Amino acid sequence: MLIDSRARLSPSPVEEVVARASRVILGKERQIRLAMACILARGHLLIEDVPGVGKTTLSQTLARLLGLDYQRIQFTSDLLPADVIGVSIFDRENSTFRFHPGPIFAQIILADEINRASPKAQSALLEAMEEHQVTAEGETRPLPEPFFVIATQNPLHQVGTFPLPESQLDRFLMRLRLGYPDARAERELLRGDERRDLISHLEPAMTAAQLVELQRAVTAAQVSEALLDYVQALVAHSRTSPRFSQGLSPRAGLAVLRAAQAWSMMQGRRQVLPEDVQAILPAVVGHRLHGAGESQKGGFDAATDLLTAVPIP
Amino acid sequence: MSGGLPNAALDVRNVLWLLASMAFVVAPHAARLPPWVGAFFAAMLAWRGWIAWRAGRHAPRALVLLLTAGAVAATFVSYGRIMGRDAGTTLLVLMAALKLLEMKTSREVVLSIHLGFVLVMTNFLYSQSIPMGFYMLACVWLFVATLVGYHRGTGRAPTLRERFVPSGMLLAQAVPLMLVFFILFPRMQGPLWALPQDAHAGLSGLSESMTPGNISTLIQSEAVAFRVQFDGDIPPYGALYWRGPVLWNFDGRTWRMPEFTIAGSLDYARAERPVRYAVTVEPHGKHWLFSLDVPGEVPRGAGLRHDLQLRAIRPVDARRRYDMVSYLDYRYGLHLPAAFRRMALAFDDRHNPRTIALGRRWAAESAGPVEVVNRALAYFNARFTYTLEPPLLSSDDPYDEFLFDTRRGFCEHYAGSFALIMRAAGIPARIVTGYQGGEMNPLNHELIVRQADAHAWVEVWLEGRGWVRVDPTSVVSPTRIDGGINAALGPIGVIPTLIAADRLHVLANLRYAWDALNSQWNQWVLGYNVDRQRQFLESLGLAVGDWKRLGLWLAVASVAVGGLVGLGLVLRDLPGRRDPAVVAWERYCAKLAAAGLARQPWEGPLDFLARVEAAHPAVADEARGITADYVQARYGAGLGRGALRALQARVRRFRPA
Repeated sequence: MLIDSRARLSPSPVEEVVARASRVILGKERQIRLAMACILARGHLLIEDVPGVGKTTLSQTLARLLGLDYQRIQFTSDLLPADVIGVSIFDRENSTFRFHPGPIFAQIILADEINRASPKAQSALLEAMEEHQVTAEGETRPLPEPFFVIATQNPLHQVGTFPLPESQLDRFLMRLRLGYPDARAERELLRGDERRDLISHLEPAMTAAQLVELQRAVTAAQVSEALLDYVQALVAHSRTSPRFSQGLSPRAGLAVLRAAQAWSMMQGRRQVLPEDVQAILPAVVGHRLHGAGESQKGGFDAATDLLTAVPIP
Repeated sequence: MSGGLPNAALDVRNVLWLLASMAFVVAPHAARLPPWVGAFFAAMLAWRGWIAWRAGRHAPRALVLLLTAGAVAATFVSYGRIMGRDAGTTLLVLMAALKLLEMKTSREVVLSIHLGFVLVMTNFLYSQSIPMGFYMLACVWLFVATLVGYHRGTGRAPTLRERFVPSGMLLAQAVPLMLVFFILFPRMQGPLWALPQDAHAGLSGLSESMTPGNISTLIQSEAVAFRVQFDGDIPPYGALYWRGPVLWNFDGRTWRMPEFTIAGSLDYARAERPVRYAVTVEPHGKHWLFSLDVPGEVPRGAGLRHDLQLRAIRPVDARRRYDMVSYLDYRYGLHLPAAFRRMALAFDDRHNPRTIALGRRWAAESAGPVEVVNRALAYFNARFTYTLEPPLLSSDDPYDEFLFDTRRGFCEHYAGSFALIMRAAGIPARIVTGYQGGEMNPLNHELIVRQADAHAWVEVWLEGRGWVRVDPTSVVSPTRIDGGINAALGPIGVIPTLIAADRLHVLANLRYAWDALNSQWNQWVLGYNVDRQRQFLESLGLAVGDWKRLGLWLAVASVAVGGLVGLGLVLRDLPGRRDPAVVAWERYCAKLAAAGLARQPWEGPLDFLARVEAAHPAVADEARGITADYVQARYGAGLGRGALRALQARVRRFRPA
C-alpha cells in the first residue's frame, strides 16, 4: 500500500542521512530533508539566514554523511576567480606551467557567505555550477561527479553584501531558511556537546556511487498528466495573477517537477502527488517569486499565497 | 526565391507536396486524354519542381503567356473546340500546370491547392465507380494534407503523421455535413448537370440494325447491361426474354428498325402470369428500355410502340431505374393491319435466292404456317452448329451461304435466316433483339444481365394466335437458352476462365459481392434522384413538398449538424474532461463535506486523508482505500476498468458519520 510505504523505506541510506544529520542540527528535520531532496534532484542549494544559525554546520554535516570529497571556500570581498578555480604556476625543473587546481575541484563545495564576494568571483563559481566544468587558461577541465554546491548567504539588508542577480539566483534549485531553533532544541544545543566535534566523528551514511544511483532513480518517479496539469496551473497562475511581480520561468517549472520527484522518492512513493509539489514549492520558488503591490511579500510568503490560490485540478 | 523575405509557403517541401498531389489527381487522365497533354503536364511539373529544388529562376512572364496561348491552341487543334468534356478537362489540366509554373506568392499557392480540388472533380466526369470514389477521396485528403503542411510554415518538416492525421480529422468532421447535403440537397429531374455530348462515346449495347456478326462482338463483353430485382418469384430461366429493339426492314443483308413510329396499346387478348420487377439499366445512349416479354405497363418518361418496344423519351444517358410488370402468358396482335402485314412480308428477292426458294418450296409442300415453322426448326436442329466464331459471310447472299454452305452460326444468323424463310413462305415475321437470361447474384437476389447475354429471336404472326415468339437458336443449342451463354460455349474471356477454374467459388462469390455492392452504389448514391430522395425522406417521416421546402430542411439540418460537430469539438477541447476517478473522488469529498469536513481546493489527497483519519476514525480504513485508489488512478499508472468500478462502488457505500 502506498500510504504505509513511508515506513518501509526508513532504513534506506537517505533516511539514515536525515536521522544522523538531525542529531547534529537539532529541530531542523524538514530543512535537512529539503536539502537532501535538492541533492537528489541534482540541484544546488542556497541557504540564506542570519549568521550563527547553523548554515555551515548543515553543509559540513551533509558533506560528511554523503561520503563526498568536500571543500570550503570562504567568500570575501577580495576573493579572486583564480582563488576558486586554481592557477598555473611555472615549474622551473620542467620549464612548464603546471595547473594547481583550486578548491572548486571537489564533489561538494561549501561556498560560505557568497554575497560577500565581488560579482566577478561569484560568477566564477556560478559558471562552474551551470556547466559542471571550468575553463582556466584556455583549457576546459571537467569537475568531479557528483558536483554539488551549497552556498550560504546573509540576508540582503546586511552590510557589505553584493546581492546575487536574479539570473544567478535561478541556478540554485532551492533556497532554504534555517531560522532560529525552537526552545527545546535550543536548550539541548546549549547543554550538549560542541557541534564541531560531533561533525568530525560522523561516519558517511552512503557512498558517492549510491548517491549517483539515487539521483538516477529520481527521474523514474512517475509524473502523471494530472500532476503536470497542477504544475502548469501553478506556473500559469504566477504569471497571470496581479499578486506576483514576475511569473515563474519554464526553468522554474522544471525545477519544481524535479524536486517534487525527489521528494516523492524520499517519501517511498513511485508516483508524484500534489503534496510533493506543495512540500518543495516554497523552497524552490521562494527566490524566484516576488509579491507585487504594496505588500512586497518575500518569496516564502508569496509561494504560500500561490499554493493556496491554485486548486488541485 | 531570390531576394526578399523567405516565403514559408514556397518552401521547397510545400511546393514538392503540391506538385505530387497534382500529379496524383491528374494521373487517371493520362490514359483518357491525348499523350501530349500528359507530357506537357509532366514537363511543367518537373520544371516547377526544379525551380523549387534548386531555388532557380522563375519562368519569364512572356514565356508563360506564350505557353498559355500554345496550350489553348493545341487543345483547339486536338479537339476542334475548347468546350465539351475532353477539351474542357484538357484545358483545365494544362492551365493548372501553368499556374503551378508561375506560382510565386502565398496567395497563388492557396489558389493552386484549390484548383487541385476542382481537378479532383473532373475525374467524376469519366467514372462514377466506387474505386474512383475512393481515389477522389484520397486526392482530397492529399490536398488537405498539403494545405496543412503549407500552414505549418518553415521550421521542422511535419511528419507524414502530422500531415495526414489532422487532415483526416478535418475530413471526418466534414462527413456529417456532406451526408446532410447529399440527402437533402434538392435534386433535379434527370442528372444534376448535363454531361457533355462526348461523355458517352464508346458505350456498348444493341443497335438499330442487325447484320450477321454484330451481336457476337457484344457477346465478348462482360459489361453489365442492366440489373433486375424481382418482386416475388423469379420466372424460369427459359422465359427470360428481355425485349429490346424490334427489326422489320430487311434489305437482303441487314435487318433494321422502321423509321416511323406508331404508338401501341397494352390491350392484350390474354394477359396472365404477371411478373413484377424493377430494372436498373446502364446508360447505352439509345432510347430503348428493356422488359420481359411482354410489357404490361409503360414506365414514366417512356412510350410504347405498336411492336411492343419500350422507348424512353430521352436517350438513356444516365443510369435509369424503372418499375415494370410483364405477362409471361400472353396473346396479342390478333388483328394484323394490312400495312404491317406488308412490312412483315417484305424482302428483296434479288438477294439470297436459294433461301427464298426454300421458303417457297416448304410453303407449297406444307398444310399451313405451323407446319412450315416446325419444318424450319427441324431443319435447323438437324444440321447446324452453334458457334461464336462463324466463318465470315461476305457475299451478297449471306443467308444462302449460311444455310447451305457454312451452317455454323450464332443467334443472329439463325434468327435472320429463319425470318427470311418465313417471309418467303408467306408468314409475317420480324426480328426481336434484346437479351436472354441473366446471372442470378445469390447475395442480393438480383439478376445481372450482361452484354454477353445479347440475343435475337423471331416473332411470326399466325392467324388466330397473333404474334408468336419462335427462337430458332434454342433448337440448335438448347443450353444457350436454358443455361446461358457460358453454358453453351464454355467460359469466355479471362475472368470467366478464372471463375471456371475456381472450384470453391471464392472468386465467383467475390464477384457477386462486388456486383451487389455496385448495385447498391448505383441505386443509392448515383441513382439518388428526385424519386429516391422523396421515397427516402418520406420513410423518415419528413414531408417533402417542393424544392423550397427541401431547401429549408437543408438549411435547418446543416445548421444543426454543423452545430453538433462544433459543440463536440468545443467539448472535446474543454480542459479537464471528466475523468471517472475524479468524479468518484469529488463525490467522496462531497460526502465528507456534508459530514462537516470540507477539503480545501488546494489540499492534496494524502493531506486530506490525514485530516479524515483524525476526524472520522470510524471510516479511516475506507477512506484510506478510496484515497489509495484515487492516487493510483490520477497520479499513478491508472486503474483498470474493474478497479475503477470497485472505486466507484466504495465511494457509493462510503458513509462518514
